Amino acid sequence: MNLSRTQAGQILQAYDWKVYRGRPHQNGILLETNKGKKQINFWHDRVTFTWSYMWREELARSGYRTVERFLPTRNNRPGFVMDQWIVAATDYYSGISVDHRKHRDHYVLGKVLGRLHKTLEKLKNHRTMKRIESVWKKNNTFEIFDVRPLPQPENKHNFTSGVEARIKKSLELSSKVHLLRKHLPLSHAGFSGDNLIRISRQWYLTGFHNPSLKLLHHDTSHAISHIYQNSEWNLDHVAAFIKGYRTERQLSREEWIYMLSILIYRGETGELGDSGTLNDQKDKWDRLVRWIAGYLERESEVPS
Amino acid sequence: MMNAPHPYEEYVLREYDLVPRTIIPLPGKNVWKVVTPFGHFLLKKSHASSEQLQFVAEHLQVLARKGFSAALPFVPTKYGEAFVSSESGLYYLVPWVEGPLSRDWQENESLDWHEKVLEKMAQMHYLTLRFWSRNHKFHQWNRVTGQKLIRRWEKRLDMVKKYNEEVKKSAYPSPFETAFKANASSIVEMGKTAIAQLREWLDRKKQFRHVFCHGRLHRENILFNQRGQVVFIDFDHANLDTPVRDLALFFRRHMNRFDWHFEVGDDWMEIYQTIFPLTEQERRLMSVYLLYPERIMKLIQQYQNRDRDSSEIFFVRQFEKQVNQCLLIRQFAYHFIRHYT
Repeated sequence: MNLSRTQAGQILQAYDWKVYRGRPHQNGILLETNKGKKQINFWHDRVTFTWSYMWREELARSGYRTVERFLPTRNNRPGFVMDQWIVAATDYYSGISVDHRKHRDHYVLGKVLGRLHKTLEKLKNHRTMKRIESVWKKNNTFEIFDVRPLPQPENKHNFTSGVEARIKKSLELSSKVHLLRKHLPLSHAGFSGDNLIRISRQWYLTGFHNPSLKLLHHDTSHAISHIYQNSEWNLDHVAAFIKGYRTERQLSREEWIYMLSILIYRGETGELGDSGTLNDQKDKWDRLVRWIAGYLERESEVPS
Repeated sequence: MMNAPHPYEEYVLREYDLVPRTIIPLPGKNVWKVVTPFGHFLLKKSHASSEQLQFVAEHLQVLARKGFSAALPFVPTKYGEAFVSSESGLYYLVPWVEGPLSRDWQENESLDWHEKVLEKMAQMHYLTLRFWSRNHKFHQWNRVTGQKLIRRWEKRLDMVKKYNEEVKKSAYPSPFETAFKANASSIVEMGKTAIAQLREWLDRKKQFRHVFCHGRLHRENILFNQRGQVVFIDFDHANLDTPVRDLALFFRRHMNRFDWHFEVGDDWMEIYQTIFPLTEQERRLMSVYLLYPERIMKLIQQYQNRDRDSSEIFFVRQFEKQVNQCLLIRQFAYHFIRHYT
């Protein structure tokens, strides 16, 4: 991120810190200040920024304090407008991320996502949130199935002959729960172990700067596939994640179906893994889908 | 003395951008002295509700803005919040006040500390008299009304009556129970008289004049800083109540030392009233407050909830002391009515 002297001055003026050093970091700037390390991020979209600000504050208000929040400016605002951006500062967290060999870490990951979803659900009926969602839905394709094109013709030989039928099945599943989709809040497109950082036995929820937004559970399915892949295709880790999630929030049958449809779709379109090795991994993804379908069936039998 | 910081306190301190050099647990639960490059602080984990702490924080801020130095406002977090409301509890931070603890006062107690405290108490009441009436959010809750007070007193009185019934049935009463049995009827009588007088008072006056009351203004919650100025701490039980509440509590706690001597009481009232004059009705209410044997009732409650290890002798002695004081308090209360109403 290259800044002019005036822009840098504006940032320094906005906050009540003494800055010692600064350097570009990811898509922003990392500052070393008298109040510790701070990260400056440049947001492109005011709507997404406000949405992000609201859930972070609500999550903290609900008692989950170890969430990355926007630091108030001297004027007590969560950020300020500079040219075409909204500039916002957060603390910079460095520590250990999720260890994919540990069930416990995946359990925590599920718990945190469950908590985040509970917060988003709570905020859904908030007037500002409703306005944000309607603006977002007007300007963006939030139905993920339209975003990702079907497999390219040259890759077609990589897939089994039933691919199209299964994608159809996925869309069918999804359409079964169209009522649910209308009521689901917006969430992030992705969520993974990288969003959690452990400092002194506390897990900090970080990241999500300029995120893509999608309906709830695109992040859940993303997290599940991420865990599955990184734990060397171990379903116990997925189970730990779901167990953690359910300590915070219960999933309805419709939500399970919706999540399953997303997983099938993403698996079939190669979105879950490296498309070059998709054939090798096909069985593994099938196993995951079957396992989740089985989980869903078991859940229907035994009320939780 | 270097202590490993508890993880909760550590993440709480991050909300203040404070990196502690040392965290020293203080006597009493959930209080720490935090030594940082930015200064020394007192961190407290409070059992109050978040609404209560918000109420306290706003009043302390108003007092600070008005130049009141005897109450320290909470240090705001870097997010501008008055306290940290986390899953493990509510934490707040105040600047550390270096000064003698109450237990050290015995030896080098300055004779005029009561006067200094009464002056500050009167100032605090005076400065908050009008603030609360402009803040409608505090109107409904946390405002003690006469009816609430009657309910509270009656509840305590019922507890004493119930305990009396239990003690009567006991075949082998303990020394405390024996002492209680001998005085039970007079304690109940005092309670009834005070409640009846409060009802009468309410029939005439209807409502209190409300100020920001500390609620527990006794030596444990009063410090003297290095310049010898009074500092009130621990406002967790503060609420909007009649100024008489703080005043009566202070009298009950500290007039014992002077055997409820009328002249000392008159001096104290004069000091308080020079800054914040009470109305005639409030002065009458003060005598009603003094008549109610609250400390004895508290002691009975404490005895009922005591640990197995606690000393029976301690409770018996305390009880006898309180009963002896009761007579003096009653005399003082009647002097009060004669002198001030």
